Amino acid sequence: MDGELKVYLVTPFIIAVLLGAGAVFFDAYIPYFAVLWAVAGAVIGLMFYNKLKQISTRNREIEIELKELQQQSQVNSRVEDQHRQVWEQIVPVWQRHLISSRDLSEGAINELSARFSHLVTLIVDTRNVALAHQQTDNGEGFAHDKKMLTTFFNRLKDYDAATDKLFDKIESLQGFTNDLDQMALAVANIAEQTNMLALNAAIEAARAGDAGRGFAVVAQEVRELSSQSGGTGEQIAHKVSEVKAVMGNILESANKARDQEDETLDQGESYINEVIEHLENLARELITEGESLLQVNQQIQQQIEQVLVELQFQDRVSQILSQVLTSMDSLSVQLRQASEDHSMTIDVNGVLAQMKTNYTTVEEHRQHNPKDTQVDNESAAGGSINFF
Amino acid sequence: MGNIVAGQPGSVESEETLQYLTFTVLGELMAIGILDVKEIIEVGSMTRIPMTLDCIRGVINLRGNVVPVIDLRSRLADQPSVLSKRSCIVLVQVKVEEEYQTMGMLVDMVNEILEIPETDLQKAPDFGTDIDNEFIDKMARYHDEFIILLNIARVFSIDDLSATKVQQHLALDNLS
Repeated sequence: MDGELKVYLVTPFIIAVLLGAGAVFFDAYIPYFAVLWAVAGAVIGLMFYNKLKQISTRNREIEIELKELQQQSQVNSRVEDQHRQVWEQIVPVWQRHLISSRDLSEGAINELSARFSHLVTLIVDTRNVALAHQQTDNGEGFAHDKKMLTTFFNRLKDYDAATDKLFDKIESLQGFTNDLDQMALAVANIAEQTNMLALNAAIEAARAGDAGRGFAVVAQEVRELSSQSGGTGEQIAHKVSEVKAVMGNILESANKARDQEDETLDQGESYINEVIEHLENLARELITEGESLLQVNQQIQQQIEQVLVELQFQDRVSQILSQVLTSMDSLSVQLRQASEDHSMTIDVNGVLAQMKTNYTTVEEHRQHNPKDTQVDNESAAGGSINFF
Repeated sequence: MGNIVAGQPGSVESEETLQYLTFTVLGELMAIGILDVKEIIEVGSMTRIPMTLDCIRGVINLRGNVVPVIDLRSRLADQPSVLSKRSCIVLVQVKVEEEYQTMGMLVDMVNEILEIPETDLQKAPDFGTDIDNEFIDKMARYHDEFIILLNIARVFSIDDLSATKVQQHLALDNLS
């Protein structure tokens, strides 16, 4: 508007000067110049008039605008008040909720971590116990068992050898019974011969007549003795034959028993070997199963340890929440100051910058400005962040 | 010793109890007077004499003397004896041609010496025994059984025994 006014003022002046100068230099044409000057003056006066009219309408418009603005500023101040109230009343509630949720999740996750670490110790203990068992049981126990069984079996074999000796002795007894038989036969023979001798003696005694009577008695006695010894010989022979029969039975059953024993021992040996082999196979299977279980156990332990590591997200979450809380605090303070002192403006960029300086995690940087990929790259270049 | 004649045991001391040697042949209990018996011996090695009768078992060597042995079973029942452990040879004194000769008698078994009173002796029955009546001298009752008392002289009859098989055959031929 000022520029325009200047144009309006300068242009008639220049025209007046030019016309004055023309009138001076060209005296002959003064009337023309005077006419021109008057025309120009009229045109300029018209222009001025128009311009003034324009200015007055513009002033009116500005006044209307001003009124509108005033109204709007009143509305704005109401909204601002509402915002302030929101900040002052709702935000603290949010903050409290955030704090409580942070505390809750922290407590729960700490609890979870404690449980998981307890699980890990349990797993480690179990594995150590299993390993200890495996080391002690690994084949050694079976070798011991086998040794014991073999010892027992060898004792059985010794017993078998002893019974074999017994049987041999019984067999040698049979030879003795044969001798006894011979002896009984000899006794019978002697008795027979004695009998005959006694008879002959009796005959001689009879021939001797009265003189031989005493001798006849002796001969009779001898004969009786011989018959007794003959009876005894028969008894001996009878008993010997009985003993022989019994001995034969004993030998037969002993031989049977020996054969059975040998067979049983052979079978027992094979059975024991089979059983030991079976048990060893079982033990081997158990050991391999145990080893695979231990591997699974270790994997579970690793998984749980990983879970424990991942449970440390709580730290990050709580840091992020703390950051948000502090930002909210500082923003609240600034808002309060701003509401008290209207000249003060809220420095949003400043607040953002301050937030950024307080960031400790990659996520905070990333979430602060999702479109800014540079942050990602920087933090990625910065290497991995170690949690503990 | 010489005063006793075989086959007549009771002739000298009659009405007395005499001793008899009992033996078994063919399951029959037989006896001879003990004074006729010289000795009892076991059956040893015996030498068969060729061409003699079946009842002459053979000869034995008795302390250097040759003694013929009669198989009593064969003599009495014409059955050759089967030797057993109990078989014995009873040596008897037989008077042959006024001379005592020792002869052997093969028996199945010698039993014992019995004392039999004279009153228990009876005459042999005419029939009813397993053996030829002529060989029986008497029958003796002892407890509830009878004992055949052999007629030794008849058993060892030289006339019978001295015949050879050839003569026997000839005699048989003549008869037929």
